[in-house]
Amino acid sequence: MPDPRTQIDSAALVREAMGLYESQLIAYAANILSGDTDRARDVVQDTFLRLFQAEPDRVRENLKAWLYTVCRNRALDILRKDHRLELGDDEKILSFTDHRPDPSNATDTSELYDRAWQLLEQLSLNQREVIRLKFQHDCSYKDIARITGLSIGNVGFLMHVGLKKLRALLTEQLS
Amino acid sequence: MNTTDHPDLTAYALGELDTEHAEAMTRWIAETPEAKAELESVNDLSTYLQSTAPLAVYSLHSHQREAVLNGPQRVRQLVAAAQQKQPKKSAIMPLLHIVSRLAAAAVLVFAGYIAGTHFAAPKPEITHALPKPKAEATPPTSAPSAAAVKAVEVPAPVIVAASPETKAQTALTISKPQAVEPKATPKPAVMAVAKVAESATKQPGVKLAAPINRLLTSAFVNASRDSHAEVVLRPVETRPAAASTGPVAAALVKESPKSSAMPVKTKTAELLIHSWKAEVASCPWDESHRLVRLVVQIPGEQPAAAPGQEYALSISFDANYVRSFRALGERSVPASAADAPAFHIAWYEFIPNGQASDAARVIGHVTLPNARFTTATTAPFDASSLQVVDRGAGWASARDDFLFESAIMGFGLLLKGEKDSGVLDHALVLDLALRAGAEDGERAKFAKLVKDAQKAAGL
Repeated sequence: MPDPRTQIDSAALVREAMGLYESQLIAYAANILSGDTDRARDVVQDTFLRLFQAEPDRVRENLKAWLYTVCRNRALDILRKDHRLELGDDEKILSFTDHRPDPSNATDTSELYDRAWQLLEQLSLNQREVIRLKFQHDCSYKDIARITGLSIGNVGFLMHVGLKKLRALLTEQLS
Repeated sequence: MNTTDHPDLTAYALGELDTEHAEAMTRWIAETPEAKAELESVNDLSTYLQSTAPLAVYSLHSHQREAVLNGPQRVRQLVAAAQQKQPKKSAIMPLLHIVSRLAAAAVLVFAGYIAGTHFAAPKPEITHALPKPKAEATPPTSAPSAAAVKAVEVPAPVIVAASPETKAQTALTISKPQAVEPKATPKPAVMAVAKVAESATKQPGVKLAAPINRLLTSAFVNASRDSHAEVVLRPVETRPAAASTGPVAAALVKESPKSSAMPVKTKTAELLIHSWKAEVASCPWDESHRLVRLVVQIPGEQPAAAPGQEYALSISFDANYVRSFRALGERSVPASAADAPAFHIAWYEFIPNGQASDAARVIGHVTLPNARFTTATTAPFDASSLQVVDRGAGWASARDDFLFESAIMGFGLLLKGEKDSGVLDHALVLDLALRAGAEDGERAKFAKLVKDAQKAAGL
C-alpha cells in the first residue's frame, strides 16, 4: 500500500504544480500541437496524473523541468501518432546565421520589436521552442536542455541563431 | 574569441554563463567595441521578449481538474477495495505457495514421464507399418499439445476479463471523476475565478480610489541573511454612489513592506496583470549603490477584486551580486477608468557585491503567485517569476519615470532623515525632478514642494 505520507505529499505537489504551471503547460503543449488546446489539456491532465505516480522527493527539486519534460513527451507522442512531427533541420538552422548590421542600431526599438512574437513563427521548430521556453516560460538553458533532451551547448546555439534570425526578420519587415 | 557572432555572447546577455566564463567575457567585451554593440542589441531584443511575452490564460476543464485533484483519493479507494477482497496472508503462506508449486511441478514431471513411457513404445510400430502417415500422425500428437497450450492459456481470458475492469476503473478516474465522492471534491481555483468573474460582470460600475504612496525606507538588510522582501497587493473593488452598469475595475492598495505573516492562501483567485518590469540603474545619491524599480501593470477589469484577496509581490536578491538592500517605497496608482490599467510600483536600493559592470547580471527574481497575464496572443508568459537584470545602466540615462520616482524616493529619505543617503539633498531631488520634466502638472507640484521644503529647512 502506498505510504499515506507520500500520497499527501503527492497531492500537495500536484496542487502546487497546477497552481503554478497549469496554464503555461497547456499553452506549451498547444504550441507543440499546432494550437489544439483541447488535446493540450488532455496532455496536461495526463502530466499531472503522472505527477501523482512520481516520488515527490525526487520530483520536487526540478518540478518545473519535470512537468515540461513529461508534457513535451506526451505532446510529441501524439504528434508521432498523427505523423505530424517535423524535426529541426540543421542546415536550415545554419542558414539562419547572418552577419548583417544589427537592426536595432538603426531603427526605433519599440517599432522594431512590435512584431517579434509574430515573426517567431517563421523560425524552425526547435529555435521557437528554446526561445519560448526561455522568454515565455522563464526556463534556464539547463532547464531547456533537460526538457528537450538537447545538450546545453545545443540550446545555446539554437538560442543564439534563433535570436539573430529574429532580428534579421525584423529588419526585413521594417524595410 | 575573435568574433561577435558567438553563442556565448548570447548566453552572456541572457545571464547563462558561469562566473568564470562571464568574467572572461566581460573583459573581452570591454576591449571589443563590436562585441559591446552586439551585446546591447541582444539585450534589447531579450528585454523586449521578456517583458512583452504574449500570453493567453488556459485552464483544464472542470472534469479534468477534478480527475487530477481526486487522483490520490481514487487510488486510496482502489487500494482499500483490493485489500478488502484479499484475505490476510500469514507469514507461512509464501512458503506454502512455494511448496505447493514444487509439488505440482513434480507431479507434472512424473505424469509426463509415465505418459512418455506409456505412449513411446507403439511409435516405432506406426513408423514401420505406416511410414507415410507418420507425418500425418504428427498433427494428432501436436494437436493435443496445441490443446495443452490452449489449456495453459486458460488463465489468459481471466486476465483479459480483468483488464477491462482495470481500464474501466482508470477511465472512471480520468473521465468521470464527478462520480467519485463529489461532496468531498475540492472546488478548483479556476472555477472560483470564473464565478467571481461572472458575478463581477453583474456588478455596477466603479469609482476608483485616489493614488496611494507609501515610504518603506528601512535599514539595509544583509542579502546573505535575508534576501527576500515583499509587498502585498490587494485589488479593491470600489463603487460609485450612484451605481451604473459596467464592469468592475480594480484599484490596488498598499500593505506591509515585509512579509512577516503573510497567510498562505490555497484558493486565491487569480490576479490578472498586463505586464511587469524591473529596471535597475545606479543610485543618484550614492553611485556605489543601485536602484531597482519594479512596476506591475494591472487591468482595471479585475475578477480578483474580491474582499480578502491578497497577492504577495516578492523580490529576492541574489546574495552573489547583492550585498545588502533596503525597501525604499511603493506606489499604487489606481486605474483612471474601468478599461484603463492600474499600476503598482515598488522601489529598492541595494549595494552590489564588487564593482558594477556593463555586463548583464541577474541580481534577483520577482514573484507574484496566483497571477496570470492577460491575454494577448498565443501563449502565457510565466507569471510566476521575473528576472531582475542589472545591465550596469547609470541613472542619468534612465527614463523620465525612473528619474521622477527616484526623486520622490530621495525626498522620502530626506524627510525621514534616513542614514546611508550619500550626497542626497534637496538640490539633488529637485535636479532629478527637473530632469524628469517637472515643468507642469503633478511633477511641477512636486518640484514646488521640494523647493518649499528646501526653503523651510533654510537651505
